[in-house]
Amino acid sequence: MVKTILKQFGIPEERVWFRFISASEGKLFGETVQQMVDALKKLGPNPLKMQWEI
Amino acid sequence: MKNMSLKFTGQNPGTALLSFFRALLTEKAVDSLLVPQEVTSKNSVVSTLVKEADRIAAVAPLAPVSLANAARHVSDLTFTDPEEKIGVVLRPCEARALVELVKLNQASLDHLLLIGVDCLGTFNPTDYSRMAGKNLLTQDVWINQAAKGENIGTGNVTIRHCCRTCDQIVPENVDLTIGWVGLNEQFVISMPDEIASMLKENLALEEIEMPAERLTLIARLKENRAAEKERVFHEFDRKFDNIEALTAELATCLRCQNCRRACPLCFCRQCVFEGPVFDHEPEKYIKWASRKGIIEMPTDTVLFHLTRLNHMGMSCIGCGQCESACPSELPISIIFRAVGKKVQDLFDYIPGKDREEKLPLTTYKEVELEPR
Ligand code: SF4
Ligand code: SF4
Repeated sequence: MVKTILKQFGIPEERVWFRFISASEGKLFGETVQQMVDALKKLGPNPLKMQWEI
Repeated sequence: MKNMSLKFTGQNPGTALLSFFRALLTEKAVDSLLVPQEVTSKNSVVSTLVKEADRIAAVAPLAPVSLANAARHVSDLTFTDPEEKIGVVLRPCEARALVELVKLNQASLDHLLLIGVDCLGTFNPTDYSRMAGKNLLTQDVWINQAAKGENIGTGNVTIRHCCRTCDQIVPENVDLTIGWVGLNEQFVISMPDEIASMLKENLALEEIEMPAERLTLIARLKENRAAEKERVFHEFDRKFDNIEALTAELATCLRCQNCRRACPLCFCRQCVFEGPVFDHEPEKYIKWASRKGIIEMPTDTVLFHLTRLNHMGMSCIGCGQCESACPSELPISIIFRAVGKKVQDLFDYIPGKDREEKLPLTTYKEVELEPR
């Protein structure tokens, strides 16, 4: 749903991540966050960064 | 169900309507009525809750103006048991909103008689009062003018653009329907058999077949409006395919939240945008301004709309109340309807359509957990 809304306005879906991680899977959580950070670094800053009417 | 004809040859349609609503109370079909009535100045029409049959002299449920979505009032009247039978008058978009509110546990249909009315659209409240003040537009003028489906407007003032793209006209999910579109000097009221026998003598009702002209006209109007809706949604899709276009359009949003307060589906007692989450510390604003060199105040306007879309887009029934309430006249009903439609399509969900169908976010299928 969130992705559908953002996609309408040209925000690529790679910027939003949904993962199901149970409370006992600490390691998986850490790894996922790391992957996410790496992917977002590759995507670069949000296009909205310089807009002021936000 | 029976189709009963209520003739108004030689008298004002409003007078016939008045006798119908009076009879509902005097024949005890209902104990009270939630029905729109003209205010004393005659400049507009508001919802009233009526107990006494002689207090509905200004009844005007067909006047083309709607200050609020009545499903909201129904929620106020039924969130606990009202302990009496209430007849509530609803336009198509109000009946749809009520279906959604029932699914969201904000209203109950247990003690209601739902009285639907045909609707060809409403004017912006300010346009309506201006015209009503000059006697250019009243319920009677409108019924005589619009029943043929033409001249939907007065001079260059037309119905709200949300209504121009609404293809419903006849309400669904109601117990009784007051039909006037495509008819001449009569209303055709579709009602349950027991109510027909209660009212028949008092009102000299006559059972008839639904006139074919009515059905043909409604089918034609629906087709035209569906095409217009398609066109407007398509245009929206093209124009707003990037966040810069949305930000530019919403630049004059004051985040006054009138749109949210007017929306019948935004039922939360406390919106996240009214709590501490968006009361930022002064240094945060300064930090943002230093980073970009300039920021607009108030901040978070686009985020406000994206959040609201995410919270209630699934249930947006397209009444346009958000837009009528906006001091900046922003086209938010189109944004909500067009994006809402995309979210609804994900789950093949049509809000306001089916009382039995569960809200997509309250059910869960195992496949939804599989990675995609
Ligand atoms: S009513 Fe208009 S100005 Fe106020 S918050 Fe909604 S969109 Fe913004
Ligand atoms: S978002 Fe606007 S059009 Fe949709 S239900 Fe709410 S008030 Fe009506």
